[in-house]
Amino acid sequence: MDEGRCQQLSETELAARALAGSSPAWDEIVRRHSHRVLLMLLARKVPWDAAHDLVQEVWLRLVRQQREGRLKSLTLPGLAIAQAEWLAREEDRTRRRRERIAEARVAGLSDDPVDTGQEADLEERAERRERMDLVRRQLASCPPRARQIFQAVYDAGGRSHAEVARQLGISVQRVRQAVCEVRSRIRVALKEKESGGET
Amino acid sequence: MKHLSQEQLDALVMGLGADVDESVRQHLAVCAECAARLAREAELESALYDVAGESSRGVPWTWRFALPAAAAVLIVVLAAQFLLPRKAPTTNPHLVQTAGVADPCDLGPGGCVVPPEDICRFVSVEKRAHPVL
Repeated sequence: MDEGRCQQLSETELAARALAGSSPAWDEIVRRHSHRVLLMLLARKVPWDAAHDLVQEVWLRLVRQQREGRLKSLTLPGLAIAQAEWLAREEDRTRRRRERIAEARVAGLSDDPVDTGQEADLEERAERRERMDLVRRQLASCPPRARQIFQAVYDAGGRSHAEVARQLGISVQRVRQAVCEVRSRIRVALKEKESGGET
Repeated sequence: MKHLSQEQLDALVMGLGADVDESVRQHLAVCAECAARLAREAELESALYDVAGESSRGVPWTWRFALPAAAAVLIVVLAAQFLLPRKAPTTNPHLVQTAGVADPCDLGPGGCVVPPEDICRFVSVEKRAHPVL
């Protein structure tokens, strides 16, 4: 099956083909979901170049797992994001451990510092939940047409603005404008929340 | 140092600038402020994808079937209650058969007036039914 035909497949069909070892299916999966994985890494403050490397690493690992018969199901982008999160966390832990050991050696203390990673994870999850609530509220207050455009752009499937514009019968400019308006509205609300004034 | 503009950051996180300018890449590597702004924008973008995913998934499939099924059962029950012929209200057969239990006022003018002989008869009937009186 060629790449063109893979683009027409649903997520479930694509995952089934990738699990069966189809390279074009894997290519299409990478095309559809890499951006989402990259965003998660950038949001975790992974530097731009390192984030791109980690995205490649995620796909290599998943393909390797499939070839070794260790991949039983493929739920995307969830699985790739979870894999990327794990890699980022591991890298972060290794870096912090190295830094602490170096600091402890300089200070002449024990080189077995307490790991506060779990607490940080809990805090991070709570923050993410709050952020999601705020985004939901802001989206609910957007005009119906803006919500429709937003849904078409951000729904899973990796569609470009041009594809969404064709689907909705509007101009690409209108799609971008609607997306920018929604993003800017949410950005303002997030800033207000950060500065202490909940919307 | 010239920081990245909001438009540049938007383009980066929205994947619009597929081939990112080398100067932008280099700036991100050295500017902590812009790297932090990029992280915030990426957080926002991720949250947007998550919320859109939730909306498209909608209500769980169990509820998609359970709610209409519950509504259908309720409609059937209500329809049966209103449409099926009702049983006559249960009444005490003794009262129905007893003479004179109908409202005397329904009999017309003067119907409520009890003649004195009837009062005596009532008292005697009562005495027969309840000898202790």
